[in-house]
Amino acid sequence: MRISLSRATAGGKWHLRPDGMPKVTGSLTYLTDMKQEGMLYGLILRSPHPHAWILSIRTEAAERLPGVHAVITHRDVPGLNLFGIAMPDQPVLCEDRVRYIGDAVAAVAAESEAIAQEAIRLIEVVYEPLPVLASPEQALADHAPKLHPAGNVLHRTNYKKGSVDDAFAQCAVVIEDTYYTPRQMHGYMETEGGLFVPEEGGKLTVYAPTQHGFKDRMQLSRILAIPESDIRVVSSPIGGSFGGKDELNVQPFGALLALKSGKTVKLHYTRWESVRAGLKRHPMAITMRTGADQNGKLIAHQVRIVADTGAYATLGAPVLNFATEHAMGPYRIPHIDIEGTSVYTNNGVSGEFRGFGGNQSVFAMESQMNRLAAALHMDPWDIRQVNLRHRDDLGPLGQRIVETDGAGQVWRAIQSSPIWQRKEQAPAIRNLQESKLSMKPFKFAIPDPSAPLQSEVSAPWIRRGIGAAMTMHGSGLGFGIPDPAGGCISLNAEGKIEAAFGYEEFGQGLLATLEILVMQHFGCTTQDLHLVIGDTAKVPHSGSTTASRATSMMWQSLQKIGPALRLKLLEAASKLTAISIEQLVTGPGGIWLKEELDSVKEDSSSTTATSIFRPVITYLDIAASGIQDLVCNIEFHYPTTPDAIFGGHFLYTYAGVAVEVEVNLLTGRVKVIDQYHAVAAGPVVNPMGYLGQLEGGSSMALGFTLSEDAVMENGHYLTRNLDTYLMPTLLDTPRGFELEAIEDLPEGDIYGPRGVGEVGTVAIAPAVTAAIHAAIGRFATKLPVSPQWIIDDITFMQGGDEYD
Amino acid sequence: MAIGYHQLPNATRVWQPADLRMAWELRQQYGEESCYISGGTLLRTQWESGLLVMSTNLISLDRISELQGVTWEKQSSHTGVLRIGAWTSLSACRKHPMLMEHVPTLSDACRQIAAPSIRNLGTIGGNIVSGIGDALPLLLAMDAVLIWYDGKGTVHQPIEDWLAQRRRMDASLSDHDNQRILMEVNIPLKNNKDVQDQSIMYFYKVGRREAFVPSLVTVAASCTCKKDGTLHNVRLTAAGGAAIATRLNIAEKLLEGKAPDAALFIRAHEAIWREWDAPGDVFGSSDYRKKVAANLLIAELWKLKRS
Repeated sequence: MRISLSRATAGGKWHLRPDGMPKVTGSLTYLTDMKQEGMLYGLILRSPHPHAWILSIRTEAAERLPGVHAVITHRDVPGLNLFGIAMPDQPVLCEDRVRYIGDAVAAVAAESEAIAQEAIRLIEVVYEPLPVLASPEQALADHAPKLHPAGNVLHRTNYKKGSVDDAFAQCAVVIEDTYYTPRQMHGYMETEGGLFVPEEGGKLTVYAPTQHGFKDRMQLSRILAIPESDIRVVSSPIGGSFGGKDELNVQPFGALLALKSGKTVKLHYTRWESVRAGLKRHPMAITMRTGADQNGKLIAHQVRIVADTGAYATLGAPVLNFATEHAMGPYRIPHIDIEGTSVYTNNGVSGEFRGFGGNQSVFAMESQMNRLAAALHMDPWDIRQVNLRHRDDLGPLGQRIVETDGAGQVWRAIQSSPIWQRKEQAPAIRNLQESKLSMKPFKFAIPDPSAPLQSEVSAPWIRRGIGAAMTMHGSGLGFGIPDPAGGCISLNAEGKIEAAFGYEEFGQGLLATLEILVMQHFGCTTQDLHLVIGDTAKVPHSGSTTASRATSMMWQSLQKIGPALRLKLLEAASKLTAISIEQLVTGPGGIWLKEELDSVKEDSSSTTATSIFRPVITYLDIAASGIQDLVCNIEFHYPTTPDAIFGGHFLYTYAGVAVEVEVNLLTGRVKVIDQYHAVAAGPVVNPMGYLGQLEGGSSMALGFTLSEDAVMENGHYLTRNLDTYLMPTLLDTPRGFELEAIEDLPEGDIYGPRGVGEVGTVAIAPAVTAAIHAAIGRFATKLPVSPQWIIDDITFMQGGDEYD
Repeated sequence: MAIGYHQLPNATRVWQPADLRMAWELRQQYGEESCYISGGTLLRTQWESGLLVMSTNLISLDRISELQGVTWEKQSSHTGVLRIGAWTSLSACRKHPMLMEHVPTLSDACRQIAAPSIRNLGTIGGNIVSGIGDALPLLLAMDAVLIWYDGKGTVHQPIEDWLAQRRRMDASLSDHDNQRILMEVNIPLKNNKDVQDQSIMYFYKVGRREAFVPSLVTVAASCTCKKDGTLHNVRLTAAGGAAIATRLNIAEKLLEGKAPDAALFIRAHEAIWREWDAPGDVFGSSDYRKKVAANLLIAELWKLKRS
């Protein structure tokens, strides 16, 4: 039976997030809201040129301005003047060359923002502009200037299986096209910023959002040439990240200015600066040639991916690895040939972004599937069934992966979804795919409650279409990349069960998920908990909050250490109360007699039971008893495939989505009016968080599909603020939303809940373009879908009868 | 080079004159060092983007009673004038009972300008004097009249003339024009009681998303369709992006007094496409804007005729 996940169906599992109220009322203090008496304001001078030599930098006039306490350039970087999570190649402060308009050349700290602005104006930099490499094509051309010592190719990937050349000859149909994806911006509400506090003895405390505090600490230590132990990074709460704050942003400047001035420094980017300097999703051009036999069985698949990684590396190489691994979808294809190239250009830096390269590849792959189906006059979902991976198949790169039936589960869920069924019942939509487009009125087989004004629907220029797509999505960092996990739980001095993890709360609901998990292990309430995250001084190494891994890793950690701490608590209680362990159980407020807690649970409405029965000893009493070692730690590695295939994943989440769109042939505007998501990711820990990830992820993907693109021209952004870079509003979001969370895992599965942080963003784009195809008979290959493209070859009043 | 030779920019002063005369005099006194401000929502974006430097004297119009309020002036049993004070916020325009009664299309148009928080501050006057406000094509189709204060008294100017002036001067008006204060916009209304006639007042804005978005194309139309199917008093206007709102005279003439069939609609469509010189940019080409304007306007007339 189909059960959609919602507040109503979640029932008692619906758990209000602890940070919800302070966030919606605005009372929560984000790190960028922090202030300190006497603090200085930091500002950064950035390059006006996408590519230039720096001939000279003069800061004397700025230094002399009253109220200026520090001016820094490359000369003030004591350690490594480079950063980058995977490969440090981005200068903190440029010395002799700038490679994009976000490059930093100098920074100042002053007593007011106005003084800092004036000081920035007083810094004189002489540049000699260089030719701008504004696209991967230009950067790969012969004689293109080298942006980095090794040239303009950051990374290449190559995966081959079978013999593609011979196989194409056997195909009944071959589809070939190039797909283009936009430079999407994360668009977090809180722009990059932080407070940097110099401490005694040359130490430093950093209050700045990041997805991995320990990684920031490591990078800062390298730049500042001070030991990691001298740096404390406080990194939560975060006003949104989506991958965009994993890499360093303000931290090196804040740290250098604070240490040089000896005063607390605050930095907080304006939206303009965030657009200019911040990361974006990799724009990719993906050429695919895919062949199938007459029954739709895939035979050969050739892919060439070209990614614009911008001026510096950050995570450009792993993103390309991921795009490569996901470029063949959840399908069995005997002959495969994939090559990817990630290219340096003088554009904005591309890096980590929710979906991590999968969104681009899956848009191309799923579009190919829809086009093969159209060419073979097959149902687009049937062709997927013919090719769907089996539960015990190897992973996309031939690596062993954890066995699940996720692909089949998702396929069946979409097949039986109301939207897809509606499509089956409305053959008119399917006929349109073949018939030449005319302006005849389009009537629907069944009424749709989510339909807008009836008059609009019956207008001859409004067309509807239904489409669907699916994906598999790896979680964790992949084989060969250090991917530590772990955590610590204890009974602290205040009598709270303390859970400390090195993860971050950036809005995804991590704190609520952690509360739920700990409560499940101890049967306690939120009152008994103390959660510690986002502070390198207080948390263990748990790895990065990225790659859809945090929920999974917290669950696995607690599976390993939850029972051990429970036992320690029971032993302590037994010792203090002289009641045998067998009779005791952890519960709300402390340790209970099993049978008494059971009666309270059985009859929670009975005031007698709840008033008479109490814990035999409270957590606070145990904490006060002086019994030591009520603490359990664990460190382990994220589960990886045993096969040495670099970057290959082991745990996958599967997802599919069906959408219905409405296309206005007068304006070319596309509106998604309904969506149905199916996700196979194991048990749902936190229904609100799960639903939120899918709702938010799908809105983000709608932007990717229909409106968002950070447009660059010759190395300069044309969309420099949120008035031209357009993220969806509530009115752009479909009224219909349904999510089917498929929780079944194969018997004996030991990995528990998989991550859902990214997968909801992946399959929307190809589902929407398939629906547009159903409505107007053409497949879009470039995102965001251009309204102009929609109406390009529609002549007004074509098929004029209706207008007489 | 002496230490401290560099001075920080002066702080901005905000003036709040109590009447038009005082506002005018402040503007005379400070000249280029001053700027009128009402809601300030557009100015703010221009300061932020570096298009304008914030004036050192901001002359706020918020205390001037002559710029406030909405009134309905009945002139005969069939005609009247709706007078909207320039300082009326876009939110107020959207919800004002008189606008909802007499010009519901204008209320609706105001709903499509920016976002709620901006509409609470932004004024109808600011939307007009910006020269690119979303309300302009509709006000043009309504034959609105602008009432200015020019230091001596009030001046009435049809909005069409003012827009033509704007276009000629390429958005840089003379000092005198820049110093005038828009007091109100007047909308003449005919209360046509002939039930046989179908009238429309149409407004449609196309952006790159559904709300809080700059316009790519905004069109407006007003027209009466007699029971014999003939169209009368046809007003077709278009704007969008950097385009100043304009009437589409050729298409209007083609349709005026006619009962269009498909062939005439197609000719009118082509006329709009040819006549409107829509500027293009990276977010929408000229061709796209022209085609959309023609599509929307002719489709609306087709709907009118069919109904």
